[in-house]
Amino acid sequence: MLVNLDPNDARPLYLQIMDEVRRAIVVGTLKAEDPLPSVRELAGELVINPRTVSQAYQELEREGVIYVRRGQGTFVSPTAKRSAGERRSLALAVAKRALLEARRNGLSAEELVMSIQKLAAKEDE
Amino acid sequence: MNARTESFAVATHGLSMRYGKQTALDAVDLRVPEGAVYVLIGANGAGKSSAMKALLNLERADEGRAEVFGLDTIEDGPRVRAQVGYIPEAWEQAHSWLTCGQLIRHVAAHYPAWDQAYAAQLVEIFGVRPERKTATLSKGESRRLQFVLALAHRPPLLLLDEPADGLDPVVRNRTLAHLAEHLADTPTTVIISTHHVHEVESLADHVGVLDAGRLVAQLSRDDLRRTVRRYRVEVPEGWEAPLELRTPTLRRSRGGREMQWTLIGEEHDVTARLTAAGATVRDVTPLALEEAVLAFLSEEVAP
Amino acid sequence: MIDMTLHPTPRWRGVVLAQIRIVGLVLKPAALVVAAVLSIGTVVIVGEIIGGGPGFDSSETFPTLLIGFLYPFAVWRNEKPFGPGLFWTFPVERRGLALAKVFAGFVWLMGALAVFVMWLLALGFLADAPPARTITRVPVTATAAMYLFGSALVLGLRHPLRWLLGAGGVLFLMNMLGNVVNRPENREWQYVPGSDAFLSVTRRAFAAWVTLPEPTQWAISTLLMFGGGFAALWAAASRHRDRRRHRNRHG
Repeated sequence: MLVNLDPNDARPLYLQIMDEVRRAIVVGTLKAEDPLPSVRELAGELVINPRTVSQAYQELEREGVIYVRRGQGTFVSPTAKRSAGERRSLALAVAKRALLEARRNGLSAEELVMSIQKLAAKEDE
Repeated sequence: MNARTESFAVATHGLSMRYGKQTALDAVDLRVPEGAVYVLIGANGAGKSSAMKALLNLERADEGRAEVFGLDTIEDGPRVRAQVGYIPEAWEQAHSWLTCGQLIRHVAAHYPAWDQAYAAQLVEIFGVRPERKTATLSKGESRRLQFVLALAHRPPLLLLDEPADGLDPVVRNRTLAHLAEHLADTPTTVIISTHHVHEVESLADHVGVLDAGRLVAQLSRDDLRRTVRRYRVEVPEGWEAPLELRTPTLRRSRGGREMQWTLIGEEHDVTARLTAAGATVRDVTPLALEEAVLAFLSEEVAP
Repeated sequence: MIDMTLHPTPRWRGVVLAQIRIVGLVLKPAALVVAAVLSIGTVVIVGEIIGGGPGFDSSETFPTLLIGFLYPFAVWRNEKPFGPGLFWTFPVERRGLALAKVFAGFVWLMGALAVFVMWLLALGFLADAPPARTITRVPVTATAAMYLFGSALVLGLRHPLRWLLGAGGVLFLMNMLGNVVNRPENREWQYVPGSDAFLSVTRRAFAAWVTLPEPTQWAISTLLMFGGGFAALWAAASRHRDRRRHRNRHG
């Protein structure tokens, strides 16, 4: 699993990790029953506080995205397929960020949506 | 033991220290919760090293006292130091005639909790060559040796004084990664002093800001993120901020009818007050750690 | 709950052994030089003895006193008692830790003296010198006492060399002054004691002590010297104790 953290992102690191895990599941790089890196590994890899990783894993576990097998590690839940629900919550998160950026630039939601549609149409051509 | 400070790994009470006329620490009340990675931020000479030395009884405070795990640092000096792994900012290589291996063995003799197997592992990880004379080590190499010495007895408290100083970016990153792994294995409270916030930012969960010996801020990372935010507001022509809003102002800049403030307080409180004063809040952004800290250190800090 | 997870402090035995080991390592280079000199000396002296020369027969005492006094500087080399350093971060009560190092130095000093005496005895045996006289040529107790004083100096004073030079300078000046004012024409100044007086008293006390006069006198001097030495050392080491009320700086 690849986890990328953005140092300029003001969101808490544990939220960023959660989003990255969700993204990996939606995109398909993480499948049901796949093992996640241990807290130690991920903390070392990302050079972050292990507590942050634990927090992210605990939240994900509570949401049923992952589960802990005693003495073996953390795994992706069998139910956490590339479900429509996961996709929706990922899309919402992306949309929220975009909306925030739009507001900062004094744009309305409608203007943002229209621009996105225009761009998407151009790419499809 | 004082019940009030029991859950803190480190607590200082009105700690003051002076060198002649210069004030190193001015009534500092550190509160470092157990298990925290507490980053002590401040310019050079802000008192970070003095605070750490006071904890080790290397320097005696002029006023106030300090506790480590509820133990008084003066009354219980040896027991306090048994809990601490310390990386000093710099001191001359005292045992320059020794090899790294000999020095490690010498230090090990003073810590009953020394973990022989882990020490060997750390030597490997940090690339310390036991047969080398310590006098021939570069600054980065002796830093790595110090990390081995500080971590091998798995101390409940780590005091790291500018630990990344003198390390090139690659080695710094690797060193901090090892530190992160160590923290995952060993329950540890860490105090890291630095004047380069971004170097250790990802590890921090608590922050203390020292400015000329005064502790101007001390809060958890989450509280910092929640309560120090940048507000972009649109204001009518000729608008002046009401007095009550000026007090918690950390930083402000103005461009036309738009103003940008870094303010302390819960977001909805601050927003409500801004709105009540006639301003329209356009945008609220949380700040990265370094920016938030800079806000505390800026000259516009309210009295 | 907190107390259960606290790490223990080391036992004194381990601390003392560590100090003996580390002091041994500090002294190793100097010891090698001394060993080399002694080896050359052995060759020369044995050669003379075999060749029928006078070789090895003198009643002069060896200047181990001076060595005992200066040796603490070597023991504390690289670990300045007042400087910042690893030494004072150890989880050991600091007065005890300082004394442990002094003891470690003492162990090596006595070991070295023992080797030296054995060496002398061996050469004396070759040269047919009476062993009793050979042994009296090494003032062991005086050397030990001087080691205590030297250690007290190194541990107790931030700048021991400056103090030493200063004291030497003062004695020298007193001497000069004494010589000037004690001239016969300055009768009214006659009673001002110069360093001559001081030195002659000290010299006599020392001589009585060093050259094994009568047992009681020797015992009293030894007691006084060791008592004074220990007192000075204790006072010096106490400057570093953890609970010292006055401000200390080891950082």
